[in-house]
Amino acid sequence: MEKKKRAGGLGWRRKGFILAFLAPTLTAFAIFYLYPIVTVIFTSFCKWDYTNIKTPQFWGWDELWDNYQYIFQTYPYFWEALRNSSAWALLGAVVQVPVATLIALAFSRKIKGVRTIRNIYIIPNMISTAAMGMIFLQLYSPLYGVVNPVIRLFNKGFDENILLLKGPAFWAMTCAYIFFTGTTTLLILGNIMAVPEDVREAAVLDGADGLKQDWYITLPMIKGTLKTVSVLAATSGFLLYNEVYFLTKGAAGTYSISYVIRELAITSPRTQFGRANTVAVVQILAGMVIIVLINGLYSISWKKKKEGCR
Amino acid sequence: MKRKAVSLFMAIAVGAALLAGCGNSGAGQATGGTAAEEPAKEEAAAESQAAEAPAGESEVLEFYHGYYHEESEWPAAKVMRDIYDEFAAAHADGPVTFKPIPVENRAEIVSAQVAGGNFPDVVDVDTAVPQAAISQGLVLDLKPYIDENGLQDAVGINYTQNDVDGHIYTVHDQLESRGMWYNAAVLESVGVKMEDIKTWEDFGAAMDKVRAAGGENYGYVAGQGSLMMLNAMMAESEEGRNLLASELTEDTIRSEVFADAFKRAAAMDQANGSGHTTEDLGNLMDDFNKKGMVAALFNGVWNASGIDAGLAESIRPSLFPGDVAIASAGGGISISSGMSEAKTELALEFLAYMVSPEVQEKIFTGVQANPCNKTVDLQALAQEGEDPIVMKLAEACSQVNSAGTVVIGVSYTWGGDVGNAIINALMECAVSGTDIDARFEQLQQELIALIA
Amino acid sequence: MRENGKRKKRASLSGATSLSGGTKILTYISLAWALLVALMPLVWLLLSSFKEDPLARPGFQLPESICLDGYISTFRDLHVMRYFGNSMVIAFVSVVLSILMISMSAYVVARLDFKGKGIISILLYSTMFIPPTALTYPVYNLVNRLHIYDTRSALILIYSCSGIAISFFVIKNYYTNIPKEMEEAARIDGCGYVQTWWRVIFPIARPGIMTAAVLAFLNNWNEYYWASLVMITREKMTVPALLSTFTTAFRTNYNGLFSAMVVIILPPIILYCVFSKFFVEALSGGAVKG
Repeated sequence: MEKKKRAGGLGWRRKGFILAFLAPTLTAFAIFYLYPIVTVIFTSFCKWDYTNIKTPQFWGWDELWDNYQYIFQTYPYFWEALRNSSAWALLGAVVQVPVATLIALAFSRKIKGVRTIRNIYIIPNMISTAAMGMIFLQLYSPLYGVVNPVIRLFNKGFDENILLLKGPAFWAMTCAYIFFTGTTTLLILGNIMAVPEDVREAAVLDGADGLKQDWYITLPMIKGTLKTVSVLAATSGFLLYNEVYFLTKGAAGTYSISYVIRELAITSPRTQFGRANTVAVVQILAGMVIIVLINGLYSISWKKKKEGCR
Repeated sequence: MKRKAVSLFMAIAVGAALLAGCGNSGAGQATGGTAAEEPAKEEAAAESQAAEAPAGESEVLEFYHGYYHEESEWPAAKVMRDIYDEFAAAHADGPVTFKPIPVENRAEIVSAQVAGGNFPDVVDVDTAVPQAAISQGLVLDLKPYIDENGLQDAVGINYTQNDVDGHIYTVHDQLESRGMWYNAAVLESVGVKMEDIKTWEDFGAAMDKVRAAGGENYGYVAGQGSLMMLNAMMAESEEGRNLLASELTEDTIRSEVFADAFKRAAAMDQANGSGHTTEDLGNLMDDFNKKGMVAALFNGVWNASGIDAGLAESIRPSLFPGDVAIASAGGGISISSGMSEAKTELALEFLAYMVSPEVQEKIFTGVQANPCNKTVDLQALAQEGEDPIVMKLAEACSQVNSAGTVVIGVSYTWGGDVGNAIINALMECAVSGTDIDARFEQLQQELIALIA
Repeated sequence: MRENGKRKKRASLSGATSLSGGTKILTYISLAWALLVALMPLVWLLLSSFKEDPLARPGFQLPESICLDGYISTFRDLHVMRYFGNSMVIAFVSVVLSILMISMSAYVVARLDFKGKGIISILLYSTMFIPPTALTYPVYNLVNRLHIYDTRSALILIYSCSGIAISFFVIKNYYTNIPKEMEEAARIDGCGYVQTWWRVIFPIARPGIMTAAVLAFLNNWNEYYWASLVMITREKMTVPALLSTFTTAFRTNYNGLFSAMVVIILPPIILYCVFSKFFVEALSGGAVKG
């Protein structure tokens, strides 16, 4: 009802307000992203490499899918990269977010020293991922690292480089970033603290306490944030680059989508912009899929939960 | 509520003050990105197009190089900057002035400019001139100038290696020269004399002995170095040398020589163990140079400067088995083709200056790199200085320069992505139990796809 | 704070059930885990930065003797303060600009209905997945065309525009949580749209906005790719350039590198400790109630 009134009486003001408030962001988007997005999509259908760097050339309708064919069928690292990146996206959502939530809940309780721990916990996230890559390279070093001695406790005589073992290398790389959930925790904690007091009081009257209160009251209240951080965690997992660059350079089956794009566009002396942008299109589409999936999952699970509550 | 709003306002006011303080050009552009041309122009004087615009005034020839390091961190960088500054000082009053600019990210800057159809005035390119720049005709052909002025010997190996269909687009003032470094003490402790290592079989046998002796010592640092090993192994045959010198083709990938070199290198790496394998030599270099627990290291001549004084006696340079050295000119000074005559002239003069004996000597003694000018007598120079590092460097350089076979590094002719794929394959083979034949077949598929 | 205190009291009132015990254990496990995970790289980094040759005495071994060379050269030879100053100005200005602009648009999208809302969300989401290689050339070109190449404005422009997606969704999410009544009350008081946003909504969402600002600041602080691309004058370079000076083509000075890494994260740590009050503690209770 109220909405109608606004639309009627203050239509022009409302429109003007919306436009004015959106304008800066949309301008930034237009100058910074719109052109690249259009270029990426268009040139993924072009022959565009070192021979014609200034003038991308449309493949024509007959050969429209040429780049895609190359990437899907010929390029050796694409599927491996897509598999890894998807796995990292999934791990971001199912490992990082629950861990971050648990820690955020712990941080929200009043315990001595919790503030100090909270402040310490965010510090690793202030170190750039490049620097973290370098640190973990040292930790994983087979001669001097700290990981091999631990393995040797269980498997005497183990002297391989875990970053070169197919399988373990993937997990080693995962461990190099996945537990540093400082920023995610911060986002969740901020929202937990914003849950209104009276809501909690009501919960206590119902006899909900501790974990129960968290599960039935706090978490549903912050589901919007959980959804957002799930998207962010999955996204950053999907876009993993620095860890690959510093730890393995793709050896032992650890290519990622971002790494592949750079290999094609920059490392290759043949400067294959067209093909790199084909992978970029896949990256953008995959990102959309991630977002839709997470949105879907959250709306389904919460519907169920609500029914369960009653 | 009010207090909060006030504090917020304060925060923004502080922000605005800072914004104003960050320079007159900061405010206008960052918000709107328009109407900010006036104040920006002064600051953008460094930008090339802007520099060319004002007519009548003296022109500026810009030169991008990568020696930005503080002297305390890397003295050689200062030596190079001094060389450049000296040239600039000599032309300070001329119609065109020379302005060296140290930049961190040369490869990206050049590639971004090339993508827009531009090229820096003069640039000391990182690894290689982008193919795209050459095919667009952005880079000046230096060959006519070199021929006219008789600089063939002064540019040395650049003259042949950087010849692309009769054009030379880049001249590197120092060569990337690689060979072997042995720790004679480690070898002798297992009864091997480094002079006796003449073939790769000898080398393999020596490494076996080091391993058999047990203890902390190990054979060699594999990974990045293994690519050099493959490189040197291919150089043993005429066919292999031809393949190395040309672009990678499917025939190369399917050739016997390539397969043989890969499998021999991989087998040796596997025996050596993945624990001693790294994609960046720097990670394990100190095991060799400082701890003296490694028998051999594949590295460049510059490794001379990293050797611990206590090990200087036992660590000595050598060639790869089979009298082979790897020397690559690689990317160096490249000049834009689209400049005024006066600027082009000065740029070419700078090229001649960089390969002149005086500068080349400084590159050897001060930068401790292998200079490209063939006429410089390194041994004599080293004797003059009596610096032990320079002596060792001289020994390594002259060995490389007088090797029976000198080949280029594969990454230069085959491309960085190919080099990376080969290193990855070799590193995976270092894990015990890996099926080398299967991995090689997979590598063949990868490489064929990469060049498709 | 207040409510936490209450909760504690309540827990003791209702008697320590098995659940509270479980909660307690889980809480302590989580805290211990958090501490362990965070301290491992930090302690390692700090220890390594004191070692003369970190590779010679690797892992968590204590340094033989404390070597401060890296710190000394970082402070004495490398003009740390200049880099700090550059980074501070650039990161701060771009954060203020981008957060202000995004908190405006996010409000509109979160609280008002209009055509094209969905498309705006999708467009902004898509920016997260564009690889920097695709952005490089257009942005480089833009910077040149505006004649701001090699100026701080170039970086401010780039940082203000990049990362808009993350800030947008974090802030929008906070707006969505604010009860509708707040706005209605403001409007009854006669506030216009802008006033409602500025006087009522913006302050309430401050914790979310501050969080987004912190995240954006950290990203800008460590950003290296664009900085090395559009800045060539060393006097204007930002903090990550400190690290690159320790890595030459042939060797890396690890002592210096690790020392510089420690020094680099100090300013954000201090800032964070000072400001964390504002966006974690200050908001419980008071804020939402108005």
